[in-house]
Amino acid sequence: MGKLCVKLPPFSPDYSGVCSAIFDLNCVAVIHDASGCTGNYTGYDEPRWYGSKTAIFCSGLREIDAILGDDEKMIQKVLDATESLNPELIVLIGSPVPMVIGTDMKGIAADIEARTGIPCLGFDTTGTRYYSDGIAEACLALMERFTRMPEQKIPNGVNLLGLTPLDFGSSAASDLKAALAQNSLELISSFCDGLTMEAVQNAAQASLNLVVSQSGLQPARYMEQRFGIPYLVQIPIGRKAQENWLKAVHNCLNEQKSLVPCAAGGETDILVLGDEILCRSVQLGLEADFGLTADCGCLFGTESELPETNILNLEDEQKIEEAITCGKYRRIIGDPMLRMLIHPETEVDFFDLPSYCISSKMSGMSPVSCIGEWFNAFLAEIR
Amino acid sequence: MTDLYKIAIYGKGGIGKSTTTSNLSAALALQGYRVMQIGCDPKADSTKNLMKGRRIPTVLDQIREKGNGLKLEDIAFSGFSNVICVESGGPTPGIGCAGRGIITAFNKLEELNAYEVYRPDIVFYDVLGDVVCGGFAMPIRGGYADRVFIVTSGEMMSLYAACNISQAIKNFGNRGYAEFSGMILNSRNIENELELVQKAAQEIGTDIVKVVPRSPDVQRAENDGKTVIEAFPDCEMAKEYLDLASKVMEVCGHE
Repeated sequence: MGKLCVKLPPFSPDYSGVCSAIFDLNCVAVIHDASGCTGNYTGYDEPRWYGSKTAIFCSGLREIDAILGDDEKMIQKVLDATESLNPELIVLIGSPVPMVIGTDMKGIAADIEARTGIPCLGFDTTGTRYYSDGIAEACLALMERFTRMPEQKIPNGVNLLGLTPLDFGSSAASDLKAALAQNSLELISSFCDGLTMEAVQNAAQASLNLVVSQSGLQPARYMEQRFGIPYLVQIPIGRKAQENWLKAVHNCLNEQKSLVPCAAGGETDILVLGDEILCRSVQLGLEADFGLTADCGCLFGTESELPETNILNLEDEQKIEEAITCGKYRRIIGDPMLRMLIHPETEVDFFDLPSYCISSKMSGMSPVSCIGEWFNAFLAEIR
Repeated sequence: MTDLYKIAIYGKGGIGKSTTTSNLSAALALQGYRVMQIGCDPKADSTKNLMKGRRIPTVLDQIREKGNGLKLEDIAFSGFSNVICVESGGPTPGIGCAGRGIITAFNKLEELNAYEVYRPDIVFYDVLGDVVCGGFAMPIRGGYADRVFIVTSGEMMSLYAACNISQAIKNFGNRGYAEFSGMILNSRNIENELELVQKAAQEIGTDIVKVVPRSPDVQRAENDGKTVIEAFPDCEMAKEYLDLASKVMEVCGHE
């Protein structure tokens, strides 16, 4: 029962991650489900949904379809939608029921591609993993299929990997892109905020990948192996930290080496909760800008290949609650929904940093940008 | 030997799939191939005769017991002539979902990088009976077996199962599934057996790769928990299995 969510809503799942990653592409996407998963994605995991024209559909899976394994019904719906919408790409996305009955999403994708001549990607998403896995899988599939070996690299060209609204509000995404532009860095491809098929094809022209969430790590490793592009793992959070980040960007570009900046660590009463890369970046920001140390409470698993400094794997609600209430921490930074785990007798100052993948629109708060000096304003009272 | 041959052996329950597959594994291992045999049957007895009659712990049993702490050495065991033996296993009889169990076991093998760690030259998937649901079709999906052989006798139910399996493969022609590569006639010595199987093969549109004769040596070897190749390497039946191994590899394109 350790995995049970009693007070928190379930975090965004892998199928929402795939949808979020392909949202900006000219594609027909179908979530193979009865409608609950599609409703969850469109209603709670996608702030861009209302007012958009993105063609993400529900297959309308019914009990008898599952029993009979009637894939043809979904295939025909996809063919109909494809005929009227003329997409560049078709995407099929699994959910818990197809997972249980063993539907072969990749096999069906190959079948649809053979019938339509349009590239079709299938994802065996299950709804039992986190959104970051879905984003990573979608980025990898796009890169493996469409990214071309470049004739030459763009020396100051960079890609952003792991940028979706599930981790970054629109203001944070804009601030991040502005930070690149202000420092003469050319953004080749943004996986996946404002992504186009052309950008996917040209992604290997970049000379450096900037990993800004856990979902960007696996694609970054792939691009290093396939195209020799190094990566830097950090979000520029904090004024001084952003200066350090910029130096690191130039070092990585000049030396063509990957870098995972790591805080010095030590004893602390500050806990940062969220995606591991976000936590690490806040940790670096606190250290550089405030001279403070923090522990990283990673909610979506930890990356074993990264160096560890004050890293906690808080993989379920029980562990998060234990960390929040253990008495060690006096200052906590995290999504406001996590306040529900604070006990009446726990004395902490809680700094709200909303994450759409945790509280969606339920926090009622506007997104906060911590890019560069915005972080200093956000945490003006942390000392 | 840089190519990896991934071969699924299907057929009706009780027709001799595990016996045939184990003897194939043993024969090819003796020829210097690194062989991996994955039993895909809740009975979990595919590799017994490569393991001196010992039943090895199944992937699903170990997942149940060890959860996330599961290691590759908990589910993969070295058998006769270093054949790597794995059993997917299944749920408690009467409950759960055996097909889903196979999918979970396959996913676990991938998660633990089994193919990269052991780097086999040949992988055999020994699959229960008919293609009864999505899970039992898993071994023939893209990324798993490239070739499917069906073990059959001249008995009607066995041929019926063979037709069903071949139909399933044909149905998914566009999906990049394994190629149906022929039938292995495991003789039961019934009347007109060869003619019956030849006729079925013709109707299905395939060939008989090899007629494996019936021999008491098979049962004698199994009574000792061994394959014929291990127990009686010089007997006529061992030669038949060696010949089968050569023919299977020939069909798979190995020169």
